[in-house]
Amino acid sequence: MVSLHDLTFSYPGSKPVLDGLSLTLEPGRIYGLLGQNGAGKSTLLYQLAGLLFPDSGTCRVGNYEPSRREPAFLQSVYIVPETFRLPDLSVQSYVRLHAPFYPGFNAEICQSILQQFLITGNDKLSSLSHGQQKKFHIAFAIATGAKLLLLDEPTNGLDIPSKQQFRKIIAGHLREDQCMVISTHQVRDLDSLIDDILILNEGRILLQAPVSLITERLVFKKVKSHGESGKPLYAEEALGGFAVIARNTNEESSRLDMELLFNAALSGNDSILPILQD
Amino acid sequence: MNFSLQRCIQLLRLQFVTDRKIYGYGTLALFAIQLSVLLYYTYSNSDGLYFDKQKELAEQGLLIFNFMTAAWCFKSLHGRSTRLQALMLPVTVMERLAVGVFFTVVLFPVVYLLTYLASGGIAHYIDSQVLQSGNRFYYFNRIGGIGWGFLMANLVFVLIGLAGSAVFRKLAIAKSIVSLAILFVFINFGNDILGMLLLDNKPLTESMREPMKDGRTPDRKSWETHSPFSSWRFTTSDKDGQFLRTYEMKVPEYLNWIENITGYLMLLALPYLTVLKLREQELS
Repeated sequence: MVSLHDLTFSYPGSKPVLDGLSLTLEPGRIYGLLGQNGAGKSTLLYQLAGLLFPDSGTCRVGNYEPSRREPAFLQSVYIVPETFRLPDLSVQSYVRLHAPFYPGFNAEICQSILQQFLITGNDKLSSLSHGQQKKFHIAFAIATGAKLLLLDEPTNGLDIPSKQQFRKIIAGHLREDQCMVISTHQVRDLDSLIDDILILNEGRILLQAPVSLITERLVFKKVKSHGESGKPLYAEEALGGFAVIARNTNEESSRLDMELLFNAALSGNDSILPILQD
Repeated sequence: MNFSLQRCIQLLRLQFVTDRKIYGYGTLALFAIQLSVLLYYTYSNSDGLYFDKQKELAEQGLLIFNFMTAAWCFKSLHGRSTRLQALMLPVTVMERLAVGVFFTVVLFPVVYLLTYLASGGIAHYIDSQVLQSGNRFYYFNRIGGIGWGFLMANLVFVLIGLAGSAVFRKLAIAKSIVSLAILFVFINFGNDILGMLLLDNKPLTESMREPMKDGRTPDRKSWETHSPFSSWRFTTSDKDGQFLRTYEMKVPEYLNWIENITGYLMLLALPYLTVLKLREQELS
Protein backbone atom coordinates (compact mmCIF):
# COMPACT_ATOMS: atom_id res chain seq x y z
CA MET A 1 0.00 0.00 0.00
CA VAL A 2 2.78 2.43 0.95
CA SER A 3 6.25 2.13 -0.43
CA LEU A 4 9.14 4.47 0.19
CA HIS A 5 12.47 3.76 -1.36
CA ASP A 6 15.75 5.49 -0.53
CA LEU A 7 13.89 8.67 0.31
CA THR A 8 15.91 11.72 1.31
CA PHE A 9 14.52 15.00 2.48
CA SER A 10 15.95 18.06 4.15
CA TYR A 11 14.46 21.41 5.09
CA PRO A 12 16.16 24.38 3.42
CA GLY A 13 19.54 25.10 4.97
CA SER A 14 19.64 22.10 7.29
CA LYS A 15 20.97 18.56 7.22
CA PRO A 16 18.72 15.74 5.94
CA VAL A 17 15.85 14.80 8.24
CA LEU A 18 15.11 11.68 6.23
CA ASP A 19 18.21 10.14 4.78
CA GLY A 20 17.84 7.17 2.46
CA LEU A 21 14.70 5.95 4.19
CA SER A 22 12.98 2.83 2.85
CA LEU A 23 9.70 1.51 4.16
CA THR A 24 6.75 -0.64 3.17
CA LEU A 25 3.36 -0.51 4.87
CA GLU A 26 0.53 -3.00 4.43
CA PRO A 27 -3.23 -2.42 4.66
CA GLY A 28 -5.20 -3.65 7.68
CA ARG A 29 -2.47 -2.70 10.13
CA ILE A 30 -1.84 0.03 12.68
CA TYR A 31 1.74 1.23 12.74
CA GLY A 32 3.20 3.00 15.75
CA LEU A 33 5.86 5.44 14.61
CA LEU A 34 8.34 6.15 17.38
CA GLY A 35 11.33 8.44 17.42
CA GLN A 36 13.09 11.10 19.42
CA ASN A 37 12.15 14.76 19.15
CA GLY A 38 13.29 16.04 15.77
CA ALA A 39 13.81 12.53 14.41
CA GLY A 40 11.49 13.33 11.48
CA LYS A 41 8.27 11.55 12.47
CA SER A 42 6.01 14.41 11.39
CA THR A 43 8.17 14.97 8.30
CA LEU A 44 7.65 11.33 7.33
CA LEU A 45 3.87 11.69 7.77
CA TYR A 46 3.93 14.86 5.65
CA GLN A 47 5.83 12.99 2.93
CA LEU A 48 3.17 10.29 2.91
CA ALA A 49 0.45 12.94 2.72
CA GLY A 50 2.13 14.77 -0.18
CA LEU A 51 2.64 17.88 1.94
CA LEU A 52 6.41 17.74 1.49
CA PHE A 53 8.22 16.52 -1.61
CA PRO A 54 11.25 14.23 -1.44
CA ASP A 55 14.64 15.59 -2.49
CA SER A 56 15.46 12.17 -3.91
CA GLY A 57 14.10 8.64 -3.80
CA THR A 58 10.54 7.51 -4.38
CA CYS A 59 7.33 7.63 -2.40
CA ARG A 60 4.22 5.75 -3.53
CA VAL A 61 0.89 5.50 -1.75
CA GLY A 62 -1.37 3.01 -3.49
CA ASN A 63 -1.19 3.90 -7.16
CA TYR A 64 -0.33 7.51 -6.46
CA GLU A 65 2.71 9.66 -6.17
CA PRO A 66 1.80 11.87 -3.16
CA SER A 67 3.66 14.96 -4.40
CA ARG A 68 1.25 15.21 -7.35
CA ARG A 69 -1.62 15.69 -4.89
CA GLU A 70 -4.32 14.44 -7.23
CA PRO A 71 -7.85 14.71 -5.77
CA ALA A 72 -8.28 10.91 -5.84
CA PHE A 73 -5.10 10.59 -3.75
CA LEU A 74 -6.18 13.30 -1.33
CA GLN A 75 -9.51 11.51 -0.92
CA SER A 76 -7.66 8.36 0.11
CA VAL A 77 -5.31 9.95 2.65
CA TYR A 78 -6.23 11.91 5.74
CA ILE A 79 -3.85 13.46 8.23
CA VAL A 80 -4.67 14.67 11.71
CA PRO A 81 -1.76 16.94 12.62
CA GLU A 82 -0.55 17.50 16.15
CA THR A 83 -1.68 21.11 16.15
CA PHE A 84 -4.31 22.66 13.94
CA ARG A 85 -6.94 25.39 13.88
CA LEU A 86 -10.48 24.54 12.98
CA PRO A 87 -12.63 27.24 11.34
CA ASP A 88 -15.31 29.25 13.06
CA LEU A 89 -18.11 26.83 12.16
CA SER A 90 -20.46 24.51 13.98
CA VAL A 91 -19.70 20.79 13.94
CA GLN A 92 -22.67 20.25 11.65
CA SER A 93 -21.62 22.96 9.19
CA TYR A 94 -18.04 21.69 9.05
CA VAL A 95 -19.23 18.18 8.22
CA ARG A 96 -21.78 19.49 5.69
CA LEU A 97 -19.13 21.58 3.90
CA HIS A 98 -16.21 19.15 3.99
CA ALA A 99 -17.84 15.73 3.66
CA PRO A 100 -18.72 16.12 -0.07
CA PHE A 101 -15.01 16.24 -0.89
CA TYR A 102 -14.73 12.62 0.32
CA PRO A 103 -16.88 10.21 -1.70
CA GLY A 104 -16.40 7.49 0.92
CA PHE A 105 -17.55 9.68 3.80
CA ASN A 106 -19.86 7.88 6.21
CA ALA A 107 -22.07 10.33 8.09
CA GLU A 108 -23.40 7.62 10.42
CA ILE A 109 -19.92 6.64 11.55
CA CYS A 110 -19.07 10.29 12.09
CA GLN A 111 -22.23 10.85 14.11
CA SER A 112 -21.68 7.70 16.16
CA ILE A 113 -18.06 8.59 17.03
CA LEU A 114 -18.99 12.16 17.87
CA GLN A 115 -21.71 10.85 20.19
CA GLN A 116 -19.18 8.62 21.94
CA PHE A 117 -16.94 11.66 22.36
CA LEU A 118 -19.93 13.67 23.68
CA ILE A 119 -19.71 16.26 20.89
CA THR A 120 -23.00 17.52 19.43
CA GLY A 121 -23.73 18.94 15.99
CA ASN A 122 -24.49 22.40 17.29
CA ASP A 123 -21.19 22.81 19.12
CA LYS A 124 -19.01 25.59 17.75
CA LEU A 125 -15.65 24.17 16.75
CA SER A 126 -13.75 27.28 17.77
CA SER A 127 -15.22 27.15 21.27
CA LEU A 128 -14.29 23.50 21.85
CA SER A 129 -11.21 22.73 23.95
CA HIS A 130 -8.10 21.51 22.11
CA GLY A 131 -8.80 17.96 23.27
CA GLN A 132 -12.38 18.10 21.98
CA GLN A 133 -11.23 19.60 18.69
CA LYS A 134 -8.81 16.71 18.36
CA LYS A 135 -11.60 14.22 19.04
CA PHE A 136 -13.72 15.90 16.37
CA HIS A 137 -10.87 15.80 13.89
CA ILE A 138 -10.25 12.11 14.61
CA ALA A 139 -13.97 11.34 14.18
CA PHE A 140 -14.03 13.18 10.85
CA ALA A 141 -10.83 11.45 9.72
CA ILE A 142 -12.22 7.98 10.41
CA ALA A 143 -15.54 8.83 8.74
CA THR A 144 -13.81 9.89 5.49
CA GLY A 145 -13.01 6.22 4.89
CA ALA A 146 -9.50 7.21 3.79
CA LYS A 147 -7.29 4.22 3.00
CA LEU A 148 -4.33 5.76 4.77
CA LEU A 149 -4.89 7.55 8.07
CA LEU A 150 -2.00 9.49 9.50
CA LEU A 151 -2.30 10.60 13.11
CA ASP A 152 0.37 12.82 14.62
CA GLU A 153 0.37 12.59 18.42
CA PRO A 154 -3.38 11.85 18.53
CA THR A 155 -3.55 11.34 22.29
CA ASN A 156 -1.89 14.65 23.17
CA GLY A 157 -4.53 16.77 24.83
CA LEU A 158 -6.93 13.88 25.45
CA ASP A 159 -7.99 13.12 29.01
CA ILE A 160 -7.69 9.60 30.44
CA PRO A 161 -11.24 8.40 29.57
CA SER A 162 -10.89 9.88 26.09
CA LYS A 163 -7.65 7.97 25.48
CA GLN A 164 -9.48 4.77 26.29
CA GLN A 165 -12.36 5.78 24.02
CA PHE A 166 -9.88 6.65 21.30
CA ARG A 167 -8.34 3.16 21.43
CA LYS A 168 -11.79 1.58 21.35
CA ILE A 169 -12.93 3.68 18.41
CA ILE A 170 -9.79 3.05 16.36
CA ALA A 171 -9.90 -0.68 17.04
CA GLY A 172 -13.60 -0.79 16.17
CA HIS A 173 -13.54 1.18 12.94
CA LEU A 174 -10.38 0.29 11.08
CA ARG A 175 -11.22 -1.78 8.03
CA GLU A 176 -9.03 -4.42 6.41
CA ASP A 177 -8.28 -2.17 3.45
CA GLN A 178 -7.19 0.72 5.64
CA CYS A 179 -3.79 1.42 7.10
CA MET A 180 -3.04 3.73 9.99
CA VAL A 181 0.23 5.32 11.03
CA ILE A 182 0.27 6.83 14.51
CA SER A 183 3.23 8.97 15.41
CA THR A 184 3.51 9.24 19.17
CA HIS A 185 5.60 9.82 22.23
CA GLN A 186 2.79 8.55 24.46
CA VAL A 187 3.64 4.91 23.88
CA ARG A 188 1.74 3.65 26.89
CA ASP A 189 -1.49 5.15 25.56
CA LEU A 190 -1.35 3.05 22.45
CA ASP A 191 0.58 -0.12 23.19
CA SER A 192 -2.55 -2.26 23.10
CA LEU A 193 -3.58 -0.81 19.76
CA ILE A 194 -0.49 -1.03 17.63
CA ASP A 195 0.21 -3.96 15.30
CA ASP A 196 3.65 -2.93 14.10
CA ILE A 197 6.44 -0.84 15.54
CA LEU A 198 8.43 1.60 13.43
CA ILE A 199 11.41 3.27 15.06
CA LEU A 200 12.83 6.23 13.21
CA ASN A 201 16.37 7.28 13.98
CA GLU A 202 18.92 9.40 12.14
CA GLY A 203 16.69 9.70 9.10
CA ARG A 204 16.10 5.98 8.64
CA ILE A 205 13.85 3.23 9.91
CA LEU A 206 15.92 1.57 12.60
CA LEU A 207 13.34 -1.08 13.36
CA GLN A 208 10.16 -2.27 11.68
CA ALA A 209 8.59 -5.29 13.27
CA PRO A 210 5.12 -6.64 14.17
CA VAL A 211 4.33 -6.66 17.87
CA SER A 212 3.53 -10.39 17.62
CA LEU A 213 7.03 -11.12 16.32
CA ILE A 214 8.66 -8.96 18.98
CA THR A 215 6.87 -10.73 21.84
CA GLU A 216 7.53 -14.09 20.22
CA ARG A 217 11.27 -13.52 20.15
CA LEU A 218 11.77 -11.27 23.14
CA VAL A 219 10.49 -11.25 26.65
CA PHE A 220 9.92 -8.09 28.69
CA LYS A 221 10.19 -8.42 32.44
CA LYS A 222 10.49 -6.49 35.67
CA VAL A 223 13.05 -7.95 38.05
CA LYS A 224 14.33 -6.91 41.45
CA SER A 225 17.97 -7.68 40.76
CA HIS A 226 20.22 -8.44 37.80
CA GLY A 227 20.66 -11.99 39.02
CA GLU A 228 16.98 -12.81 38.47
CA SER A 229 17.03 -11.99 34.81
CA GLY A 230 19.65 -14.46 33.68
CA LYS A 231 21.32 -13.01 30.62
CA PRO A 232 19.36 -9.90 29.66
CA LEU A 233 19.88 -8.33 26.26
CA TYR A 234 19.08 -4.95 27.71
CA ALA A 235 18.27 -3.67 31.19
CA GLU A 236 17.49 -0.35 32.72
CA GLU A 237 16.62 0.81 36.17
CA ALA A 238 12.93 0.90 36.95
CA LEU A 239 10.84 1.51 40.02
CA GLY A 240 11.71 -1.22 42.55
CA GLY A 241 14.30 -2.97 40.38
CA PHE A 242 15.07 -3.34 36.70
CA ALA A 243 13.14 -3.55 33.45
CA VAL A 244 14.81 -6.08 31.20
CA ILE A 245 14.56 -7.47 27.71
CA ALA A 246 15.72 -11.03 27.19
CA ARG A 247 15.57 -13.60 24.42
CA ASN A 248 12.31 -15.53 24.57
CA THR A 249 13.74 -19.01 24.59
CA ASN A 250 10.97 -20.60 26.67
CA GLU A 251 8.02 -19.27 24.64
CA GLU A 252 7.03 -17.06 27.53
CA SER A 253 4.15 -14.71 27.11
CA SER A 254 4.88 -11.11 28.00
CA ARG A 255 3.43 -7.72 27.25
CA LEU A 256 5.49 -5.53 24.93
CA ASP A 257 7.06 -2.59 26.75
CA MET A 258 7.40 -0.15 23.84
CA GLU A 259 9.27 2.40 25.87
CA LEU A 260 11.85 -0.16 26.94
CA LEU A 261 12.22 -1.50 23.41
CA PHE A 262 12.60 2.03 22.08
CA ASN A 263 15.30 2.85 24.64
CA ALA A 264 17.07 -0.41 23.87
CA ALA A 265 16.99 0.21 20.12
CA LEU A 266 18.38 3.71 20.50
CA SER A 267 21.00 2.75 23.09
CA GLY A 268 23.22 1.29 20.42
CA ASN A 269 22.60 -2.21 21.73
CA ASP A 270 23.48 -4.41 18.79
CA SER A 271 22.05 -7.69 20.07
CA ILE A 272 18.32 -6.91 19.93
CA LEU A 273 17.79 -5.62 16.39
CA PRO A 274 19.34 -8.65 14.62
CA ILE A 275 17.00 -10.95 16.55
CA LEU A 276 14.00 -9.08 15.19
CA GLN A 277 15.28 -8.56 11.70
CA ASP A 278 16.39 -12.00 10.60
CA MET B 1 -7.56 17.45 -17.43
CA ASN B 2 -8.85 16.60 -13.97
CA PHE B 3 -11.42 19.37 -13.45
CA SER B 4 -14.71 18.97 -11.62
CA LEU B 5 -17.32 21.71 -11.59
CA GLN B 6 -18.94 19.97 -8.65
CA ARG B 7 -15.77 20.31 -6.59
CA CYS B 8 -15.43 23.95 -7.67
CA ILE B 9 -18.94 24.70 -6.40
CA GLN B 10 -18.17 22.84 -3.18
CA LEU B 11 -14.94 24.78 -2.71
CA LEU B 12 -16.77 28.02 -3.43
CA ARG B 13 -19.37 27.20 -0.76
CA LEU B 14 -16.68 26.18 1.70
CA GLN B 15 -14.68 29.36 1.17
CA PHE B 16 -17.76 31.55 1.27
CA VAL B 17 -19.12 30.09 4.51
CA THR B 18 -15.74 29.81 6.25
CA ASP B 19 -14.76 33.41 5.48
CA ARG B 20 -18.25 34.91 5.75
CA LYS B 21 -17.28 37.21 8.62
CA ILE B 22 -14.25 38.59 6.75
CA TYR B 23 -16.45 39.23 3.70
CA GLY B 24 -19.12 40.93 5.80
CA TYR B 25 -16.74 43.22 7.68
CA GLY B 26 -14.68 43.77 4.51
CA THR B 27 -17.79 44.98 2.64
CA LEU B 28 -18.63 47.41 5.44
CA ALA B 29 -15.02 48.67 5.51
CA LEU B 30 -15.03 49.12 1.73
CA PHE B 31 -18.26 51.10 1.90
CA ALA B 32 -16.85 53.28 4.69
CA ILE B 33 -13.61 53.97 2.79
CA GLN B 34 -15.47 54.82 -0.43
CA LEU B 35 -17.89 57.12 1.37
CA SER B 36 -15.09 58.87 3.29
CA VAL B 37 -13.05 59.52 0.13
CA LEU B 38 -16.08 60.71 -1.89
CA LEU B 39 -17.28 63.01 0.91
CA TYR B 40 -13.76 64.41 1.31
CA TYR B 41 -13.74 65.45 -2.35
CA THR B 42 -17.36 66.66 -2.15
CA TYR B 43 -16.45 69.19 0.53
CA SER B 44 -12.84 69.99 -0.41
CA ASN B 45 -13.37 70.82 -4.13
CA SER B 46 -14.88 74.15 -5.03
CA ASP B 47 -16.72 72.39 -7.90
CA GLY B 48 -17.94 69.68 -5.54
CA LEU B 49 -17.95 66.04 -6.60
CA TYR B 50 -17.83 66.64 -10.34
CA PHE B 51 -18.40 63.85 -12.87
CA ASP B 52 -14.78 63.30 -13.92
CA LYS B 53 -13.58 63.18 -10.32
CA GLN B 54 -16.20 60.52 -9.51
CA LYS B 55 -15.08 58.56 -12.56
CA GLU B 56 -11.43 58.82 -11.58
CA LEU B 57 -12.08 57.75 -7.97
CA ALA B 58 -14.43 54.90 -8.91
CA GLU B 59 -12.18 53.44 -11.61
CA GLN B 60 -8.92 53.83 -9.72
CA GLY B 61 -10.60 52.41 -6.61
CA LEU B 62 -11.78 49.37 -8.56
CA LEU B 63 -8.29 48.86 -9.96
CA ILE B 64 -6.71 48.94 -6.49
CA PHE B 65 -9.50 46.82 -4.98
CA ASN B 66 -9.15 44.16 -7.70
CA PHE B 67 -5.42 44.05 -7.19
CA MET B 68 -5.70 43.72 -3.41
CA THR B 69 -8.35 41.00 -3.55
CA ALA B 70 -6.33 39.09 -6.15
CA ALA B 71 -3.23 39.25 -3.95
CA TRP B 72 -5.36 37.98 -1.04
CA CYS B 73 -6.98 35.25 -3.11
CA PHE B 74 -5.07 32.19 -1.83
CA LYS B 75 -4.96 33.34 1.76
CA SER B 76 -5.75 29.86 3.09
CA LEU B 77 -2.32 28.84 1.77
CA HIS B 78 -0.60 31.76 3.52
CA GLY B 79 -1.39 31.06 7.17
CA ARG B 80 0.48 28.33 9.00
CA SER B 81 -2.65 27.17 10.77
CA THR B 82 -4.81 26.92 7.65
CA ARG B 83 -2.18 25.83 5.15
CA LEU B 84 -2.14 22.12 5.96
CA GLN B 85 -5.89 21.74 5.70
CA ALA B 86 -6.02 23.79 2.50
CA LEU B 87 -3.32 21.64 0.90
CA MET B 88 -5.02 18.40 1.97
CA LEU B 89 -8.39 19.39 0.53
CA PRO B 90 -9.11 17.09 -2.44
CA VAL B 91 -9.16 19.72 -5.19
CA THR B 92 -6.88 20.32 -8.15
CA VAL B 93 -4.78 23.42 -8.72
CA MET B 94 -7.03 24.43 -11.62
CA GLU B 95 -10.14 24.13 -9.45
CA ARG B 96 -8.51 26.24 -6.75
CA LEU B 97 -7.51 28.80 -9.36
CA ALA B 98 -10.97 28.82 -10.98
CA VAL B 99 -12.60 29.57 -7.62
CA GLY B 100 -10.01 32.26 -6.90
CA VAL B 101 -10.62 33.87 -10.29
CA PHE B 102 -14.38 33.74 -9.75
CA PHE B 103 -14.06 35.55 -6.43
CA THR B 104 -11.60 38.10 -7.82
CA VAL B 105 -13.09 38.77 -11.23
CA VAL B 106 -16.81 38.31 -10.61
CA LEU B 107 -17.90 38.35 -6.98
CA PHE B 108 -15.64 41.03 -5.48
CA PRO B 109 -16.06 43.53 -8.36
CA VAL B 110 -19.85 43.12 -8.03
CA VAL B 111 -19.53 43.86 -4.30
CA TYR B 112 -17.38 46.89 -5.17
CA LEU B 113 -19.96 48.17 -7.66
CA LEU B 114 -22.80 47.73 -5.18
CA THR B 115 -20.96 49.50 -2.36
CA TYR B 116 -19.91 52.21 -4.81
CA LEU B 117 -23.51 52.74 -5.93
CA ALA B 118 -24.50 53.12 -2.28
CA SER B 119 -21.59 55.32 -1.16
CA GLY B 120 -21.50 57.27 -4.45
CA GLY B 121 -25.28 57.73 -4.28
CA ILE B 122 -25.05 59.21 -0.78
CA ALA B 123 -22.12 61.46 -1.74
CA HIS B 124 -23.90 62.57 -4.92
CA TYR B 125 -27.10 63.30 -3.01
CA ILE B 126 -25.19 65.52 -0.57
CA ASP B 127 -23.27 67.13 -3.45
CA SER B 128 -26.33 67.88 -5.60
CA GLN B 129 -29.12 68.36 -3.04
CA VAL B 130 -27.36 69.81 0.01
CA LEU B 131 -24.49 71.69 -1.64
CA GLN B 132 -26.50 72.38 -4.82
CA SER B 133 -23.47 71.81 -7.09
CA GLY B 134 -25.45 70.44 -10.05
CA ASN B 135 -22.96 67.65 -10.84
CA ARG B 136 -24.09 64.47 -12.59
CA PHE B 137 -23.79 61.05 -10.88
CA TYR B 138 -21.17 58.69 -12.28
CA TYR B 139 -22.11 55.02 -12.07
CA PHE B 140 -19.68 53.58 -14.64
CA ASN B 141 -21.79 55.26 -17.30
CA ARG B 142 -19.14 57.31 -19.11
CA ILE B 143 -19.53 57.90 -22.82
CA GLY B 144 -18.27 54.95 -24.84
CA GLY B 145 -18.60 52.59 -21.87
CA ILE B 146 -15.69 51.13 -19.96
CA GLY B 147 -12.53 51.65 -21.98
CA TRP B 148 -10.37 48.87 -23.38
CA GLY B 149 -7.35 50.36 -21.60
CA PHE B 150 -9.15 50.24 -18.27
CA LEU B 151 -10.10 46.59 -18.77
CA MET B 152 -6.54 45.70 -19.78
CA ALA B 153 -5.12 47.52 -16.75
CA ASN B 154 -7.55 45.56 -14.55
CA LEU B 155 -6.53 42.30 -16.18
CA VAL B 156 -2.82 43.04 -15.64
CA PHE B 157 -3.40 44.06 -12.02
CA VAL B 158 -5.49 40.94 -11.31
CA LEU B 159 -2.96 38.62 -12.95
CA ILE B 160 -0.07 40.16 -11.02
CA GLY B 161 -2.12 40.00 -7.80
CA LEU B 162 -2.98 36.31 -8.34
CA ALA B 163 0.64 35.46 -9.11
CA GLY B 164 1.75 37.37 -6.00
CA SER B 165 -0.76 35.47 -3.89
CA ALA B 166 0.59 32.15 -5.19
CA VAL B 167 4.27 33.11 -4.90
CA PHE B 168 4.36 34.92 -1.56
CA ARG B 169 3.27 33.38 1.71
CA LYS B 170 4.05 36.18 4.10
CA LEU B 171 2.84 39.75 3.47
CA ALA B 172 1.49 38.67 0.08
CA ILE B 173 -0.35 41.93 -0.59
CA ALA B 174 2.60 44.16 0.32
CA LYS B 175 5.05 42.07 -1.67
CA SER B 176 2.69 42.02 -4.66
CA ILE B 177 2.51 45.82 -4.57
CA VAL B 178 6.31 45.99 -4.52
CA SER B 179 6.49 43.52 -7.43
CA LEU B 180 4.01 45.59 -9.40
CA ALA B 181 6.03 48.74 -8.74
CA ILE B 182 9.28 47.03 -9.76
CA LEU B 183 7.66 45.78 -12.95
CA PHE B 184 6.46 49.24 -13.91
CA VAL B 185 9.80 50.84 -13.08
CA PHE B 186 11.50 48.19 -15.18
CA ILE B 187 9.14 48.77 -18.14
CA ASN B 188 9.59 52.54 -17.94
CA PHE B 189 13.34 52.20 -17.58
CA GLY B 190 13.47 49.93 -20.63
CA ASN B 191 11.43 52.38 -22.67
CA ASP B 192 13.54 55.27 -21.52
CA ILE B 193 16.66 53.53 -22.76
CA LEU B 194 14.95 52.57 -26.01
CA GLY B 195 13.79 56.11 -26.60
CA MET B 196 17.21 57.54 -25.84
CA LEU B 197 18.88 55.08 -28.16
CA LEU B 198 16.46 55.84 -30.97
CA LEU B 199 16.01 59.60 -30.62
CA ASP B 200 18.58 61.30 -28.47
CA ASN B 201 21.49 60.85 -30.82
CA LYS B 202 19.50 62.23 -33.73
CA PRO B 203 19.89 65.95 -34.41
CA LEU B 204 16.90 68.30 -34.61
CA THR B 205 15.36 68.46 -38.09
CA GLU B 206 15.17 71.66 -40.10
CA SER B 207 11.51 72.25 -39.27
CA MET B 208 12.22 71.69 -35.58
CA ARG B 209 14.96 74.29 -35.71
CA GLU B 210 12.63 76.98 -37.05
CA PRO B 211 12.73 79.98 -34.69
CA MET B 212 9.75 80.91 -32.55
CA LYS B 213 7.83 84.18 -33.08
CA ASP B 214 9.79 85.79 -30.26
CA GLY B 215 13.03 84.86 -31.97
CA ARG B 216 14.14 82.06 -29.65
CA THR B 217 15.55 79.07 -31.53
CA PRO B 218 15.17 75.44 -30.54
CA ASP B 219 18.48 73.94 -29.51
CA ARG B 220 17.79 70.59 -27.88
CA LYS B 221 15.04 68.08 -27.30
CA SER B 222 13.99 66.12 -24.25
CA TRP B 223 11.66 63.23 -23.40
CA GLU B 224 8.11 63.70 -22.18
CA THR B 225 6.77 60.13 -22.05
CA HIS B 226 8.51 56.87 -21.30
CA SER B 227 5.78 54.28 -20.96
CA PRO B 228 5.09 51.77 -23.72
CA PHE B 229 2.55 53.95 -25.50
CA SER B 230 1.89 53.79 -29.22
CA SER B 231 3.15 57.37 -29.56
CA TRP B 232 6.08 59.21 -27.98
CA ARG B 233 6.17 62.82 -26.95
CA PHE B 234 9.17 65.06 -26.73
CA THR B 235 9.77 68.76 -26.31
CA THR B 236 12.27 71.22 -27.67
CA SER B 237 13.93 73.97 -25.67
CA ASP B 238 16.36 76.81 -26.25
CA LYS B 239 19.98 77.13 -25.09
CA ASP B 240 18.82 78.15 -21.60
CA GLY B 241 16.56 75.14 -21.32
CA GLN B 242 13.34 77.16 -21.73
CA PHE B 243 10.47 75.09 -23.15
CA LEU B 244 9.52 75.90 -26.77
CA ARG B 245 7.44 73.24 -28.53
CA THR B 246 5.88 69.80 -27.93
CA TYR B 247 6.02 67.05 -30.60
CA GLU B 248 4.17 63.79 -30.78
CA MET B 249 5.39 61.00 -32.99
CA LYS B 250 4.31 57.49 -33.81
CA VAL B 251 6.49 54.74 -32.42
CA PRO B 252 8.14 52.69 -35.18
CA GLU B 253 5.94 49.80 -36.20
CA TYR B 254 8.50 47.12 -35.30
CA LEU B 255 8.81 48.55 -31.79
CA ASN B 256 5.05 48.42 -31.39
CA TRP B 257 5.17 44.75 -32.32
CA ILE B 258 7.96 44.02 -29.86
CA GLU B 259 6.11 45.83 -27.09
CA ASN B 260 2.81 44.10 -27.85
CA ILE B 261 4.36 40.64 -28.03
CA THR B 262 6.26 41.24 -24.79
CA GLY B 263 3.07 42.48 -23.13
CA TYR B 264 0.98 39.51 -24.25
CA LEU B 265 3.72 37.06 -23.31
CA MET B 266 3.78 38.61 -19.85
CA LEU B 267 0.00 38.20 -19.62
CA LEU B 268 0.37 34.51 -20.50
CA ALA B 269 3.38 34.03 -18.23
CA LEU B 270 1.56 35.31 -15.14
CA PRO B 271 -1.18 32.62 -15.06
CA TYR B 272 1.47 30.02 -15.86
CA LEU B 273 3.56 31.22 -12.92
CA THR B 274 0.45 31.14 -10.71
CA VAL B 275 -0.39 27.54 -11.64
CA LEU B 276 3.24 26.48 -11.29
CA LYS B 277 3.55 28.01 -7.84
CA LEU B 278 0.25 26.56 -6.66
CA ARG B 279 1.40 23.15 -7.83
CA GLU B 280 4.72 23.49 -6.00
CA GLN B 281 3.13 24.42 -2.67
CA GLU B 282 4.61 22.45 0.22
CA LEU B 283 3.97 22.64 3.93
CA SER B 284 7.43 23.89 4.83
